Amino acid sequence: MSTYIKGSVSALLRGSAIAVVSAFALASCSAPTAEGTKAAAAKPAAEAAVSKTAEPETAGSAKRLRLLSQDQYLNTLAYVFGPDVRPDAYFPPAQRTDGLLSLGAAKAGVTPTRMEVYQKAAQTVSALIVDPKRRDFVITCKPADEKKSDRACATKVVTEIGRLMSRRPLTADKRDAFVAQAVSAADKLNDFYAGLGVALEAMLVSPNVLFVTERSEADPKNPGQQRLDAYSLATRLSLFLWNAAPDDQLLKAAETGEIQTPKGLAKQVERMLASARLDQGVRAFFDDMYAFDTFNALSKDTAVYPTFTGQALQDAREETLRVVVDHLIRQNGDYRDLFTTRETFISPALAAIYKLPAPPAWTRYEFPEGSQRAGIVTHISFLASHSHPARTSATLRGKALRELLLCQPVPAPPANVDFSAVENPRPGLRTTRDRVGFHLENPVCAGCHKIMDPMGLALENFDSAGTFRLTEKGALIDASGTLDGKAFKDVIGLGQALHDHPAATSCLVKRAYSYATGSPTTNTDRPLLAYFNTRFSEDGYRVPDLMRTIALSSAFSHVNDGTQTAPGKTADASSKSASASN
Amino acid sequence: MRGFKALLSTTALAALSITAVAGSAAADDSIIKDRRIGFVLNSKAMAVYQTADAKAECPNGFNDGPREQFVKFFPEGTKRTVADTQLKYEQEWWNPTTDASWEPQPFKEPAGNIGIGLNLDGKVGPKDFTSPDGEKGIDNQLYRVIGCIVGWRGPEGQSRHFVKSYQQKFDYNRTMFEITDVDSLTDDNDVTVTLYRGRDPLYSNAAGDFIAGGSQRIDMRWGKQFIYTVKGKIVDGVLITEPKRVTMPESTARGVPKMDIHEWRLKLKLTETGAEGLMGGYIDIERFYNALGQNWGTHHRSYGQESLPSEYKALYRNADFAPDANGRNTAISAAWDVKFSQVYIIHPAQQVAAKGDKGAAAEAVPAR
Repeated sequence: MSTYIKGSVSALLRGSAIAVVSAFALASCSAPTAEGTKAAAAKPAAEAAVSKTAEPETAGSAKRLRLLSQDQYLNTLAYVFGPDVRPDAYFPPAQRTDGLLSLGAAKAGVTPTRMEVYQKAAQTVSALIVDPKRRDFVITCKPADEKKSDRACATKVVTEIGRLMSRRPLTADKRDAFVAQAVSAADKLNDFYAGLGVALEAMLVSPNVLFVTERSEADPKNPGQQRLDAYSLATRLSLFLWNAAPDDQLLKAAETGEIQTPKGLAKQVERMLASARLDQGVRAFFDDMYAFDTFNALSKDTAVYPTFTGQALQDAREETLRVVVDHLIRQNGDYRDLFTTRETFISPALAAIYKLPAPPAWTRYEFPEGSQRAGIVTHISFLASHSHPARTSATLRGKALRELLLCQPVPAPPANVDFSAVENPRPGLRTTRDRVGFHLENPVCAGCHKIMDPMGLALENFDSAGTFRLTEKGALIDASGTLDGKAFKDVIGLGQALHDHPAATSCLVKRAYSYATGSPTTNTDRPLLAYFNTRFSEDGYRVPDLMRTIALSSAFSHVNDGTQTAPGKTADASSKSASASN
Repeated sequence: MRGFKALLSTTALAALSITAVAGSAAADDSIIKDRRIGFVLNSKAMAVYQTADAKAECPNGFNDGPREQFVKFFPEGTKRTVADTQLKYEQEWWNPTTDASWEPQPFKEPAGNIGIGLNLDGKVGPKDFTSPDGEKGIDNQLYRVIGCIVGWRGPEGQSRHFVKSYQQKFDYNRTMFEITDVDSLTDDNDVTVTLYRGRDPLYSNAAGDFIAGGSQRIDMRWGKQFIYTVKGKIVDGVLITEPKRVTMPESTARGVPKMDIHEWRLKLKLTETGAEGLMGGYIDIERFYNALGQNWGTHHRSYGQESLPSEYKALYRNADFAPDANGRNTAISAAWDVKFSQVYIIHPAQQVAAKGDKGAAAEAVPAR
C-alpha cells in the first residue's frame, strides 16, 4: 500500500486509515430503488408455502467468510451513492469452485496487488462523494465551516455510510476511529470535505466492507441450532437476490429483529423479489452459472470471422442474460423453456452474425418457426465461448453443456493426450464429425468423449463465431446426436432433450442453493436438494419461486461450521438416503 | 418473367412447407432473404487509370496547382496589390471562363487511349477510351480532366482521399441499393435495383475494415429524393443496371450536398459479402464545378495541385453530353471505382419495430 501512496499529508492519513470501521444510517439513501410490479412477485408467500413436501431437517448451511465480488461492490456503491459513482474497478476474479465463481470468493486471499486495486477504487469513490457537484446529495449534513473539521457532521456521515457499506451498524470504536481520521485530516488540510474523503476511503477498503463475515447466534426456537444473526441473514438475502449489500429497509428489518420472524422474513423476501433490483441478482447468478466470465478472455480470429467484433463479444453475453431475465422474471416462464424458446434480443453486432437486419440498439426478435435457432444453446454466447478461436469444438461444446447446464463434471483429459489428430487432421476429413470420429473409436478416448461429442456435434451447424452453416468444406453437416439415450436429428432436438432432461432443473437447483449460501453442496444436502427439486417442479419450474423457496428455507438461515450433518444422521447415511430417493 | 418468378416463388413456398426444417435451416444460412439482398457503399473514388510511375499516362508530368500557377502569374520582383494578385486569381475560381489563353501553361491531359469506365452510349467514339482489359468505347472524359492532377490520383490524392473519407464517415452520404426479385447472385436476367439513402454508420471491425452483415435504416424523411428504381440483370456474377438519371447524396465539407448523374448505371461483381466494380454516368459540369469550389479549401487544392479555373476549361473542352441551345455540351462522362458491403436494409415498416412492443417487433423484424 505504501508504494501506492504519494507523499502528501492526506496520503499519510490514508495509510493509517485502513484498519478502522464504524456505524449508522443514511436517511437520504434509505428509499428502496424502483420497485415494480412483476410477474416474479405474483405468487404470494402464503400460497408458495402450500406444498405436499416439507423441508427436511438439516444442519443448515455452512457459515462463510467470503470476499465481496466486484459486481457486489459496485452494485452497493451504486445503491448508496448513486449509479454515477462507478469506478473503473477490475477486481481479480475468484477461482471457480464447484461450478460457481461465487463459491471461490470464500477461498480468496487479499494480496498487496489486490489491495491496491481496492484502494484505487476507494480513492476514486471517496473523491466523487466529496466532490462539490455531488456532496450535497450524498452527505446529509453541512459543516459549520468548510475549512475546518466538524466532528458532529463527520460522525453523522461516517455512521450513515458505514452502516450501509458494512451491512451492519459500525461499532462505536470503529465509528470513532473513522471520525478521528476525518477530523485530523480536515485540520491538517484545512478542508472538512478533504478530511472526510480520507476517512471514507479508509472505510471503503476496510475488512468489514470487503469481507462478508457471517455471524451466528443460538436459535431460541430450535435449541441446539445456530441461525445467522439478523444482519448476516440480511446480507445473505441481499447478495443472493440483488447481488448487492442490503438496502436501508432490509437493515431496518434486521435492526428490529423483524427479519428473524417467519412473517417478517417473508415480507422482506417478497419485497426483494418484486424489486427491479432482482434483475441484477438473476443476471449475476446466471452469468456465474453459465460461466460467462469466459467472455473476459474470449477472442476470435477476425480473419476467419470478420463479423465477430469486440462489440459482438459484449453483446453475445448480454443477449443471453436479457433472455434469461425476460423469460424468467418478466414472463415468469418455465426455466426449461430457455432451451427451446425462439424469443431473443438482437443488437446490430449480433445481427451480422445471425444474418439478420437489426435497427440500432437492442430489439426483441423471435426466430421464425422451423429456424435452427431455438434455445440459449443456439445463442452466440454458448456457441462462441465454447469453441476455438478459428474452429468449432464438439468436445468443448459438449463438455460445457454437460458441466454448465446439467452439473455433470467431465474428467480432465489425460496429460499425454495427443491433439495432432484434430490440429492436423488427415486430408479428406471435411467435417468436424469426421475429424473427431476417432474419439469414439479409441477406447481410451471414448470413455469421456462419448458423453461430450454427441451433444457437441449437434451444434455443428454453427461455426466458432455462432454463424449458421449448412455445410463444412462443402460437405453437408450431420447435426444428429444423442443425449443420455435420447436421439435427435438436429439442434432443435438437442434443445428439446435438454428441456426434458431431469438434470437440467436439478442442476439449476443445486447451483442456486450453492450460490445463495456461498458453499458447495455436499452429500448431506441431497435430501434438501430433493425437497427444492420437488418444490421447483410443483411451482412449474419458475425461478423466482425457487429463489423464494430457498430464501425462506430453514437451511438458508441456519448455519453450521461446515462439518456438521443433518440432525440424527451421519453424512453417509444421509447420502445413501438421498441417493435412494433420487 | 416476373410471372414466372412468382410461380417459382410459390413453388418454393410449397416445398418449404414440406421440408420445413431443411428450408428454414437454409433460410438461417442465406444472406438473400425473401429474394432480397442489400449493399451499402463503403468506398467511392473517381476511376483514374494509373501506371506505377505515371509516365505512360502523364508523360509531361502533373498539372500545376494554385501555388505553382500563382508563382508563374506573379513572379517575385514586382510590387503588386492584393487586388491585383490574390483577389484576381480568386475571382477566376468563382467566375471561371473557357478562355484557354488564361492558362499560364498548357493543361496536361492524359496521353494514350487507355481508360477505366463504362460504355455509356453504346458506341465507340473517336475520343473514347479502351479499358485495360480491352473493352472499347469507354466513356470517361472526366479522366481527361483529372487524370494528371495529383489530387485525384490514388492512393492518397487530396480530393480522392477526402471524398472517400467523407463518404465513409458521414451518414449523410450513406448510399445503398437493394436488389429485389433476385434468385441468384450468379445469373438472373431480371432483377430490380432500388437506390436509397441509409441513416446509419458503416459497419466495421476492430481493424477498421468495412464488413458485411450490418444493418441500415432507409432515410424516408429527407432521403426520398434519393430513391430510384431501375431494372437490371446479373450475368456471370456481374450486376448491370439499366441507365437512369439519379441524384445521389454527396456531402463533403460544405456546399452542395448532392450530385446529379445522367444515365447513371452500375456494373458490379457481386458476392454475398459485397459488390465491387464501376459506377458510371454523365455529371453536370456547372454543378460539379460549384461543388468542387465550395467543398474544398485552397490548402486541399494546393497540396493536390488542382487548379479550379484550369479544370473548368478542361471540363467544357471534354464535355460529351447534354448539349445546350448553342450545341455546347454541359455534362461530362465519368466513372467511379466503387465498393459496397452487404447490408440488411430495414424498411420503414420494420423501423417501427425498434420502438414497438414484443409482438410488433417480432412481426416486423422477421428473417427476411
